[in-house]
Amino acid sequence: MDILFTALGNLVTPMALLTLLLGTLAGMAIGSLPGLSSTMGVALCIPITFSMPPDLALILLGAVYVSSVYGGSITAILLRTPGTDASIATALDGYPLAMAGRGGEAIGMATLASLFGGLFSVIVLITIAPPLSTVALAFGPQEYTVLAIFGLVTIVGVASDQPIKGVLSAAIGLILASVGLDAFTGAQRFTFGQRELFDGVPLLPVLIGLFSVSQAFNLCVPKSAGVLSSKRPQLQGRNLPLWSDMKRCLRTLLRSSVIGSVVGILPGAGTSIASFISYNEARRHSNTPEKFGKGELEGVAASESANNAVTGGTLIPTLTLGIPGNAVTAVFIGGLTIHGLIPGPSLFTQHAETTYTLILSLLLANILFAILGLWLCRYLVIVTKVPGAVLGPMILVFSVIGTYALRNEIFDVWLVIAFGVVGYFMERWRYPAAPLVIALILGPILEVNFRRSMQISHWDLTTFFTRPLSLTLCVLVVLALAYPLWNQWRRRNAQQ
Amino acid sequence: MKANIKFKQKLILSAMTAILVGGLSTLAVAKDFPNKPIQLIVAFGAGGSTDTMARIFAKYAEEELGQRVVVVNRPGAGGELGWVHLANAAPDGYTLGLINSPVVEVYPFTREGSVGYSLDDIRPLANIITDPGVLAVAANSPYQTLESFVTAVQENPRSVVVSHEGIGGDDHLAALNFAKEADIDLNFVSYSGNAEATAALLGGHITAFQGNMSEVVNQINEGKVRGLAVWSNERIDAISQVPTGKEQGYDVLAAASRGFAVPAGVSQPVYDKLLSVTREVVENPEFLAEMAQLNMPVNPIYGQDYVDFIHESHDRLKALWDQEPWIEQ
Amino acid sequence: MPLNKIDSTLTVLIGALCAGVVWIGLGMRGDAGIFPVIAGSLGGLACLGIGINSFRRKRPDESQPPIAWQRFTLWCLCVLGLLGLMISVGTFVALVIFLLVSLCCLSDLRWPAALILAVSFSSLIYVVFVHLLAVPLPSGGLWNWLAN
Repeated sequence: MDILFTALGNLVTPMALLTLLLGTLAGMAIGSLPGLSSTMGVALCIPITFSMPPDLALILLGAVYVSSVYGGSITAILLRTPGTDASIATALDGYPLAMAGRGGEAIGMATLASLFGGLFSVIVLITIAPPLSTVALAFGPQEYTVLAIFGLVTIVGVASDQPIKGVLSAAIGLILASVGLDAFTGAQRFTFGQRELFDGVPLLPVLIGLFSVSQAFNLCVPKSAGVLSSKRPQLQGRNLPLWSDMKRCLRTLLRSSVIGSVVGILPGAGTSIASFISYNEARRHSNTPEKFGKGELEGVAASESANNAVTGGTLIPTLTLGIPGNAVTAVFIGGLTIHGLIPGPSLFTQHAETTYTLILSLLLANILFAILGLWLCRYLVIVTKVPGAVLGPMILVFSVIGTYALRNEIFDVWLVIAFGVVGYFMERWRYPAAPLVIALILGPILEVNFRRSMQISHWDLTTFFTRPLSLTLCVLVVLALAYPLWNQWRRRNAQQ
Repeated sequence: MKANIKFKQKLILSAMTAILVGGLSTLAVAKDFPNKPIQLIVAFGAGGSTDTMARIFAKYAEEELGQRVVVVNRPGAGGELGWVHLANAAPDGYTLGLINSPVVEVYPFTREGSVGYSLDDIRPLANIITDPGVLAVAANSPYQTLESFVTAVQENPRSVVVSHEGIGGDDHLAALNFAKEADIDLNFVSYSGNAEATAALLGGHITAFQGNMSEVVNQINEGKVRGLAVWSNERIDAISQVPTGKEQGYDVLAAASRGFAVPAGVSQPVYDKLLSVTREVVENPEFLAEMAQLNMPVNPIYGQDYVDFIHESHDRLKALWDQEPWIEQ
Repeated sequence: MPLNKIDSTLTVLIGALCAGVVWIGLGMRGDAGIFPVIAGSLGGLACLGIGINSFRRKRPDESQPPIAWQRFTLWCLCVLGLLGLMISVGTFVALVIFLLVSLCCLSDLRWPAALILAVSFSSLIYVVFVHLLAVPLPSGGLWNWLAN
């Protein structure tokens, strides 16, 4: 306990607070721009942090990390242009809310949900990090395979009004996921000799194309997009969700935070699995599942609390085992070691002061972005009043430049435009785009782990059912699939 | 006739001017090089270990050069994309690249026909890091030595699973080399990241991990992972308890090296200038201290020696490939 | 075009594509082809489902607002122009021209307003990406070509 107070003492110096503020603002900006990921933000900070004392360096990295995950929700809600895959599920309900003039309320809910998820995972990190880190080790290839299937099952929920079209969209995503050099045999799959495709179809250009660029088309093309003729939503003054809405979402917030924290612990699982699984679970447990995807605050709450809970979760294996939970925390390890802090149990004993300073700075960064977010949202919602044809070109510019900045490749820019056109027509013809992106993210995880399991078990398919953890996950998958069907059947019976 | 003479005079005059200006400008280039920011191409993504080293190097090189050194990530095709960009860049010294051996020298023959660069397009400048390969098992594993590991594989080849980071990479080549030397068949599983592979090793999902020293040094020193062998000539200070392969009778040498290279056409004065700057940075104790803290073993090889190093490694691996290709064609 | 006609055309096209994927996947060496075959088959099945659905569907689809083809073409030309200019004359000039033209043509803004918006937004992008984030944006091949 003493150590927590010492750590708090380190944090309430003017320099530390200034670093925290700057890190939070930078993180929010990085998160909200398409193409700038939290990995890139943290990597860009690394050279700056060399010359800083370790405490300040870690505060900066932590603040940038948590606030960049939150920042993605703002543009996802107001413009339907999620900056990273973590906020796709937020856009599903956030944008319809913004179009109904309830953008402020949606951002308010996203902010509070992010705060809730973030705080939850930091508290988990402080209290039970060492025992929880064993979860990261218990997951073998078999468990990852079933987890990826669990993630894919959520497509049913995301594309509830067009299930078959959702499956087709996911199948195309899976086909795209198999493009590239095969890691196991070195075979070239569907690369057509294009060197840019050897490492697979890059995710972010596809994501930015299908969501942001297609949105730029949506905004510019209609006849009523101009300044004179555009009809934009009447803003409704509310910037905080109703207390009754908050209370209604409490269970979802809690459930999503648990899912986010656990998924965060697993190296290589990814933030978007957590937000999609939480979204699907929220919908499954809701009394009004049909409202999801049309502007349901609970959907925003589920996705945002889950993706921010991942931040604390990823730090659990990073700090206790030295195994980074994702690309951002891998950069974190570099930032820790450069200051002579070696990830592992010693971080909680020998260097406990610095470690707790980092953890507490995450806590403060969460609170800080929540305050900034709630204060800024009344100004930010004005964006939804700007006529589409003014907004569209600017979104396109951000998408093009952001995509180029990812790996300095003109090829990716053509890709983003191509997927933009595809996304525009997919939406018109009622083919949901989110399943394609989910499949593109989960495809490689599924394939690689399935083939690893097969190599380890020498092609014994029962390996998925003979391990207790993997069997439990299998049962959860079956439940997630069967529950909506059973629910439908029960309702039909009740009506008759 | 007169006009013709005048024309000839003009021609000679302009030719002389051209030579003069050309000569002056090469002199000028060497003298005030660099006078604009320099690009440093990293063939891997932001945040990885190659990228981290590049960004630290850039910070010190900026002090020496008096110009900004901009790290440009061009990941793709397992590094090939970045090296294609390096090979095709203007040879004016304003584009440098990091090359990762042995990967950079194997693509020209493993990807023969489709590869976008040749080793002749790239002129190696200086090696910075040499990260030796390590074969490791979890601390609770029954295998105490390389010998007991080999015996176990001979008795029951199916019971052992070894991870590496992608087919054709340095870890895969090291493990193949070892398997050949020990005359055993290993069951390989590919892991794309060292984090996932370490977690799988600690969780008991795989038997052994073939990676680089810097990736497991912390876990080895904490006693969670046991190094069976390090594939270097001598023991490594950071993990002095781990014996080399040679000590145990397996003559295997493997490492991942990272160094700088420039496009082949760079003029000698500019090459020398860049070489001396690199030398200054690598001899800077602050740079060395940062590398040591990141567990990146610095092993400088400069100029022609580095060129020879890359080409020798190329010839050795090419011979191995011709004998028995590790990727089916 | 009614939605079910679009659906049936699309399913034929994508179904053929999926069949191609399965065919290529079956020919891949080792276990590299398993995943493409599964993905392709899944796509094929989904196409079959959508195809059957679109033929069975009797009730007319809800009407969609038609695409304003004139504006669509104009916008596509603007976007292609942006990419072309980025590669040839450099990012900053390309951004200004793209924003100016698309704002003037598509959003009924008057040109002085469009110009101010275009220049200030392009400058913002330039400062953020080139100076703060040190991303070398394409500076245009035309200048190099002219210099030689």
